Amino acid sequence: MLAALFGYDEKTAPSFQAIQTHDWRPKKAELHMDFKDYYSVLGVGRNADDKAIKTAYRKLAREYHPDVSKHPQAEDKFKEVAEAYEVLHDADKRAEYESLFQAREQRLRYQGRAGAGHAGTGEADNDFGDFFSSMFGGGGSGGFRSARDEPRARKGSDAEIELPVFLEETLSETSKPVSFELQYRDARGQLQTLQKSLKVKIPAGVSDGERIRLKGQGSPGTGNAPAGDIYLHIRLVPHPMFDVEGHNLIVTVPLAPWEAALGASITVPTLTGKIQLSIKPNSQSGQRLRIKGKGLVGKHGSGDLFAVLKVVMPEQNNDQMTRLWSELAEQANFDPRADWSKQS
Amino acid sequence: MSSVYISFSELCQCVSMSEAQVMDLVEQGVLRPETGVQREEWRFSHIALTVVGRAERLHHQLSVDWADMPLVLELLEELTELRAENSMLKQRLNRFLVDEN
Repeated sequence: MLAALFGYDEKTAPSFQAIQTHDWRPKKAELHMDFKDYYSVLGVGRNADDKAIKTAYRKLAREYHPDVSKHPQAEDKFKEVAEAYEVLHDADKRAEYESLFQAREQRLRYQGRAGAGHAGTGEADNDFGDFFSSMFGGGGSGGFRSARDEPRARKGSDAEIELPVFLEETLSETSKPVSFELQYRDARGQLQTLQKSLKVKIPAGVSDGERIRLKGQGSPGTGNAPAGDIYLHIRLVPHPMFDVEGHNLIVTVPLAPWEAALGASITVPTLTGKIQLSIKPNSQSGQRLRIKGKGLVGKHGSGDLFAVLKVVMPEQNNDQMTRLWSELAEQANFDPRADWSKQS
Repeated sequence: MSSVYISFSELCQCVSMSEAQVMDLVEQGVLRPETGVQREEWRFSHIALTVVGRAERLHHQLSVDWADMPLVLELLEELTELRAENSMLKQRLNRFLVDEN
């Protein structure tokens, strides 16, 4: 730990809470913050020049930038990469970081000789932003602006939250509880956590991917600047029975071969209940039947429900059924692959 | 809520982009005012904030040139739409496919 490096005992050092209460501001990196190896984050050597660092950053940024990446941990990975780049591509910050790096190496060498064996214990697990702010006094990763460059009054940052919504909930205006946690840096660069619980009105007819803005519900601003905003990113939860196509719904309707052949009256589920549907004789698998107005609510009226027919075979045939199928095969004189023979 | 509209100058203030850069996105059709004819009368939906926020991040964090921004934003939008469509079609296809045991 860096505490050892700077010559005070971790057991007697003031806790982080105590430091805040007494407004005792430690000098850079004196908090016992875990060390971050920015070189390995970017995958470059210690002697990498600015061009190599820029190239490594760009490659990783393209891979992990939340706006372009599909990687599940893209945002966290990008924060690490951005923070490492912010330090290593700035000559002053890099020199400061390098002096910490060298001091750490000396300490690890000493510990190795003394058989302490603590090298690397938990050193990669903690929050990168905390290590960054312990070195450079606030700001943190992700924005490329250190605290030194920023004006005192600054609008709080916006945040985006995914909100899963069931199809049934989109049919009328609904009120949903939303709870989230915001992490932000206050005017002094200290990391703060804010828990929020809101009741949010979701208008009827919201669609997948739509964003709802909650003005002023984001992180608090500094100075007299306003708070940031929250964007609720609507995600329609996949339904076990209905698929969504715009404002239309699709339900796949299994039919017995004889129902498709002879026609039938069947019960089909809708999002709000059930309806009776007439199947015409000689219906085909894949055929779409339109049920008007039974889809999702749209801005300009309701969508439709499409019943897509799917002919399914019984899982088992007994002797009698096999005999009847054979009789049908003889009588029908039907070649389902007639088109193939025409083409060859 | 979702019915908040913002003016051109408010839009520029929300991000650290110059008026000329935001104007460029409007001229290229990436941003469309919901109402208004003259620039002073323009009112944008909150979606415009998402778009300019994304443009700003792409410029600062991925070094995307402002001249290429409309194309990049359009392609990313198309990618999002295609991914959503692909996932929806896969879901529908899976209702018809049965794997042999």
